[in-house]
Amino acid sequence: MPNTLAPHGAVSLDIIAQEIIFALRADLAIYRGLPKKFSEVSLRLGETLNAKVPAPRVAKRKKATAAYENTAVSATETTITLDDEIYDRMELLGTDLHASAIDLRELYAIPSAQAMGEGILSHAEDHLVEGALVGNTTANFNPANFTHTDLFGIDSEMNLAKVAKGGRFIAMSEEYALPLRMERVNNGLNENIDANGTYVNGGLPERIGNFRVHVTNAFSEPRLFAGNSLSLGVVTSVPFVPPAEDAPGVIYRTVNDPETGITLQFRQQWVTEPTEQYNIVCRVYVGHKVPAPETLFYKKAAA
Amino acid sequence: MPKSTATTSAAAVLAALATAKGEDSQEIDNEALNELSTHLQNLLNSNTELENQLTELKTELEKKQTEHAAEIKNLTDDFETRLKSMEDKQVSNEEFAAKVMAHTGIAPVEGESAGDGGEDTTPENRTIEQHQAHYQSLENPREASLYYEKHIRPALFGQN
Repeated sequence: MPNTLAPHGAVSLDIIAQEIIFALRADLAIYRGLPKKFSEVSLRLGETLNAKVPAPRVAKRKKATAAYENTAVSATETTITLDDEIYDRMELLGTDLHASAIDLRELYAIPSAQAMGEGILSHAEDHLVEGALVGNTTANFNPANFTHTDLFGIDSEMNLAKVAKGGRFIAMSEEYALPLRMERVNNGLNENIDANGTYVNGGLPERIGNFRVHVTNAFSEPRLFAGNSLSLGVVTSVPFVPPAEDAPGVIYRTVNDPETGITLQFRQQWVTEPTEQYNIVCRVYVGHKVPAPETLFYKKAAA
Repeated sequence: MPKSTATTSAAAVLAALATAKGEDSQEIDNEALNELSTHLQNLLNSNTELENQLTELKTELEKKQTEHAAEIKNLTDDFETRLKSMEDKQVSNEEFAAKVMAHTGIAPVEGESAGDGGEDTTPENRTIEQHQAHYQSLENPREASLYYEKHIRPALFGQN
């Protein structure tokens, strides 16, 4: 579908769409290194996509006279169903769409990106709790007490459970990241801050120990999950558009993010006159799956 | 008869007459008169022929002048049409530049024409509306996003 700009309000739509994609990157960073398939093709809910899962690697031992034994390097695949649509629908007036580019970004794009990020990750949360509780305990944990010792304890527990170290990640909400950041400050360690003085990744480094660290505000409640590249798979697709929806006054955009690979669909519809109301919908179909629940650990937060 | 030949022949007849007159002015024979008459007739014929050629040339000249006038008129009309089109386009660009200004607060670069995607302009030299036009022309969503991030986003927001 061409990115054709219609004469009215479409420039604003393009700015909003691209800025949503841009702002969504931080929340989608959790999917780096995880099995995924972000389809640019429009599909229907209930359809499936295959995400490549890395085959487990096991080193072998041989004597000098023995032959080498090959194991396939090709990844296996896991089939994941697109079972939900995540969308954010904005009602805007024509005057809203004529705002400056900075206002379009700050007032509409960034809040919508946050909503979409929360929507996608809340869908992931439903599956992430299929893992095991850290320490095999049902007791609620207060995130404010989380320390580096706890973090390395999770790493150790995963080692004991023989969870492969490849692609290990730990995803946590800000409530868990804050005490870690303060602990680093108190011990003279650097915070993760960009050139503008803004915290990056909740002020935590990209890696701690075996973990790729991901801090997000998109979980529905204080959460902490740890796993590896077998712990979570994700698929998304552009929603299918029935011909009847392709009506006059409706503009579609399909916007792809080259960095995360996700493709979102945007639909702008002119609604009423003379108030010039527009509806802009940001949509994506999502599916998640935990291919190997034994590789996934999480903490149950205090209510 | 070609003009040079007729002139030579007439000179020969006059020379003959002068000779005859020198010998005996009263005894110019009929033969010389006939010869003179013939040459005079030839001269008249030659003159008529030249007049015909002149008429043909005049006709041809008038025809060429008519053709050139028509060609000049066509060129003038075409020029005026192009000029009108450029003036209309200029108005359109000014309107578009005003829209871009309203959206972005950034005015197009002065002296560069707005408009058609600027395939003849390097990306670094494109105005914001040329960037927009090029963005519109990209059908691949990934390419469009890359172009937005590289060229349009810095123009809209600086490096922030």
